[in-house]
Amino acid sequence: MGRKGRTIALALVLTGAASPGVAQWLRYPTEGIPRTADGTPNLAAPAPRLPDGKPDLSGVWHAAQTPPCLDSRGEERPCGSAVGGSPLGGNLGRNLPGGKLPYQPWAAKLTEDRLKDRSIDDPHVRCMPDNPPRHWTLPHLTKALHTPKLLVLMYEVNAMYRQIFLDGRPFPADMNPTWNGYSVGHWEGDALVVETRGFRDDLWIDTQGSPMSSAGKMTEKIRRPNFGSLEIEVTIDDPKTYTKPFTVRLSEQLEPDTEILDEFCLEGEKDYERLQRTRGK
Amino acid sequence: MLRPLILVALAAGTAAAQSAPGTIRATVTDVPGGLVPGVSVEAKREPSGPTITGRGDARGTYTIDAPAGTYELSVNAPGMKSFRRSGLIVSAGQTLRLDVRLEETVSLRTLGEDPTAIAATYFNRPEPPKGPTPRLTNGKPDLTGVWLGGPTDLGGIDFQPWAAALLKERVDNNVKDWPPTFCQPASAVPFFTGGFFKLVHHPSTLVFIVENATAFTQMQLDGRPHPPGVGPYWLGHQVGRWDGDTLVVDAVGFRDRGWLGFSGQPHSDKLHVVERLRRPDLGHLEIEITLDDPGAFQKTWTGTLKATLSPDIELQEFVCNENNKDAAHMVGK
Repeated sequence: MGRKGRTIALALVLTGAASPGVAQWLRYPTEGIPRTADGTPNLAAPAPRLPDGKPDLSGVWHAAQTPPCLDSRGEERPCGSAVGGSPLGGNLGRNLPGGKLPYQPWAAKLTEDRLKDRSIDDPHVRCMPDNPPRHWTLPHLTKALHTPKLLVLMYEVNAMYRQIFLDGRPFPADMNPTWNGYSVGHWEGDALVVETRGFRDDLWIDTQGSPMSSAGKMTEKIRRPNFGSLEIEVTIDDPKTYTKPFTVRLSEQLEPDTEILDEFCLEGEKDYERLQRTRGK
Repeated sequence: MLRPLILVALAAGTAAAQSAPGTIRATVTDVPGGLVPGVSVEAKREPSGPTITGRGDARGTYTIDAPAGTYELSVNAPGMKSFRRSGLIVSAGQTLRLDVRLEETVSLRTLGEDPTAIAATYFNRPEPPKGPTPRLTNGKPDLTGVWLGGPTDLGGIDFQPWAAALLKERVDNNVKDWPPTFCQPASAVPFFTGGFFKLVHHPSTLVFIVENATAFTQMQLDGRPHPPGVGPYWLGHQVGRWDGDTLVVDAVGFRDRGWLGFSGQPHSDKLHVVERLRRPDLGHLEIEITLDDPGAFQKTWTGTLKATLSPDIELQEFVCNENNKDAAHMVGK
């Protein structure tokens, strides 16, 4: 079994998010990371720059926060995971007025039903892609490699990836509906503005199952205020599913001197079947 | 699921130039009657003479010029059983015509796969654009691009007995447990996956993304060594360094009893892969691959894979395990 975390909305049970006993974290003092006198990575140093002077977003990242884990009394406790996950991973609207996304009535009902089912139909459990913006929130590593014309995001989960084209291309005229959509980016000052279209229907954008439709348009404004962090402002405009566009703020922290591991989610995968057996219980 | 590879020998035709040759001309079809392009052909002069090798063309025919004599002819196309016939008499100035029908070792037609059509993708590819090798800011060749690789011939690996037996077992079982059936990587050597792949070349890392299988792998270019005891990984731990304009990628840390190719060629956890990547011009990529595996091979194996640039296209998103039915359809014997 791989190191896929299986996130379930209510309990946010993160079984498997920690590395298994047989594997080891790869530790290697990576070139280009600024350091203090004793060799510790200096994450407060200025962001690195591409040859064209724009911020270089490359690095191994995970959500900066720790997700809440609930014990049997419903009280929050530490999760025991070394890799952060965003509290917004469970409910993307957690910090919005009312603590929820501005659902259309059908989407509110669907999300409620999924919550009742404890998210056992979460595509993540079936090793499907962690579409944006979920990959910024789940407790897994993402490696970004930034070249002047392309930003590649590589997810440790199931060796999945996302490409963000920076070469000025427009959206294709007739896009295949996809999990990751088609992403193009441009600079506004030091913020990389990534626009994504061409999503498939019924994507989950958080673990409780808030949906996004193929009408969804996503904008991510990504900044690297210092060496060790990313700030991402995500705006979703999906009038089929939400009564108005909404914007949430996510943050990532750098995991220096390590690497993503080889992880194939489907190898010996048993979660989906086991979770399905709990339906209605 | 990944489409089965049509692996075909790359050896260029090298007809022996001797006096008064005769000619062997053949048309190669599969059992349903489709032409099989790009077969590899060997004509060995009996009883112990030299061997002439050649390659069939894209239209399923091949022609070999051979000095007069008696020959044993073998015709091979991956995914097909070998055709072999001895006692063929070639007379000076005459043409010996043959119809060769190859049977498939494994039929994936029930899955809607058409080996002939897949082979046509490889053989009918457009000429790649011309131009000089693009360069990274550090002056080294930039290998970035969407490439169409293969076909590659994985034949000729000299296996240890256990590995030869495992290969036979996999073939006899119609490659039922081929990892891509279960959405797992097709080969320990990513370049053997086949189909379109993309290289993204960052000065610190070369990323390999394949379209029709899971999914990406990284080659670290920052001078780091292999960590002790790294892996076991499906695709190994890969580090690269420059040797002039050739990027030399070294990979260790593999799983035991993995697959190297569609036919089930096994490797052990002692597999050591060295890939020498060259981009001699804008449109071409050449990869010399050396496999050394003291756990499974009798000796090292070297082959070359050539890829052409596919400009102006992009990889499509492929999510293998979405409604995957292959595992149920791959029924074995």
